Amino acid sequence: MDMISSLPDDVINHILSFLPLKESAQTSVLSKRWRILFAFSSNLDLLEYKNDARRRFTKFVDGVLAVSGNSPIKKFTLSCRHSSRTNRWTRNMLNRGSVLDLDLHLGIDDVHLPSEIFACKTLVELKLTGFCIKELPDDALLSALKKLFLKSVQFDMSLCHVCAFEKLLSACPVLEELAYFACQLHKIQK
Amino acid sequence: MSKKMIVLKSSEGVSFVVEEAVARQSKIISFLVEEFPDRELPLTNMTSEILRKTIEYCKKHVVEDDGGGDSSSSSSGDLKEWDVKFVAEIDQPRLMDLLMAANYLDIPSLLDVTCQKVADTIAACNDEKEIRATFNIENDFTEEEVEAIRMENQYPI
Repeated sequence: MDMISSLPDDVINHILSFLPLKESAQTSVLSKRWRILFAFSSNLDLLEYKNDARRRFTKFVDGVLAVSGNSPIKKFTLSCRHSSRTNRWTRNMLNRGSVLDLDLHLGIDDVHLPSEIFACKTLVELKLTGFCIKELPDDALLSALKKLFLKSVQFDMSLCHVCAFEKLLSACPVLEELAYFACQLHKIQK
Repeated sequence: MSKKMIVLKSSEGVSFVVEEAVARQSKIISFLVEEFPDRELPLTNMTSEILRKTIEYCKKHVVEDDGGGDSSSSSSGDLKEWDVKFVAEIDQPRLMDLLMAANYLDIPSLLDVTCQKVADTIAACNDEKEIRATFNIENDFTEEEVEAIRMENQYPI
């Protein structure tokens, strides 16, 4: 067998983790050895490019996640329109217990994020674009989070009058970098 | 002050005398040095050429790490530039050997640099035929199978 194909699976996965999924998925047709290796990359970036390819995109992502089972993910990027599946995909990633870097962009602003995000102990970097965060779970704690990027995120006041933004910040004890753009951090009192 | 030296022996039996701090960037060598101090370490699956390259990489990285302490961004930038040049000068079969050496000796930064270079080479190919040709990968699929997988796995663009 050629040199690259005889590398151990984890080394091939490491190589493929330097490629966007769009490119690494191409390697599935190289030979039988490469058939499913791309799905085990530790860096999954799922970007929906075209609205009319929704069904194919959903099928593709479902397939990748099913094949890769519980293999560890370090970086997960999801940019697509929200659907019943997007939260399930995000939970699938978080449940693998290894995500360091999470980047979610779901295109509309009234989506409920899976509450597990705010209690993820492995996350070091979190980027959220286009969400409304009304309430944080009581067990919110991002104990390893160092970088937080927020774009077009609206925070709301919870029933007990605690601002969700303040609660989020106090749930990040080791935060080093905070950047926000076009966010509403406090609900305007009428 | 004289620095502690250790001896690494390639598959051809050539001995390389290396500063311990340089060699210890390999987690495997680090372990072996502690287990077998003052012994020559045989690296039977590494040719002299690849061992020399690996040592060159480790020397560069240990100097930079020592010199700058918590090195400034410019020196880490220089180091990155050096890394890019280092792998650019190596032809493909040797790059694969070096990648395997980095994996075997457990030198994470060298593994990253070599894997990145291989990934860049894959990305630079126009289609799977070019990837196969570049890496001498034998296609053991029928044309129908390739089409079926392509339909299934094609990333929706």
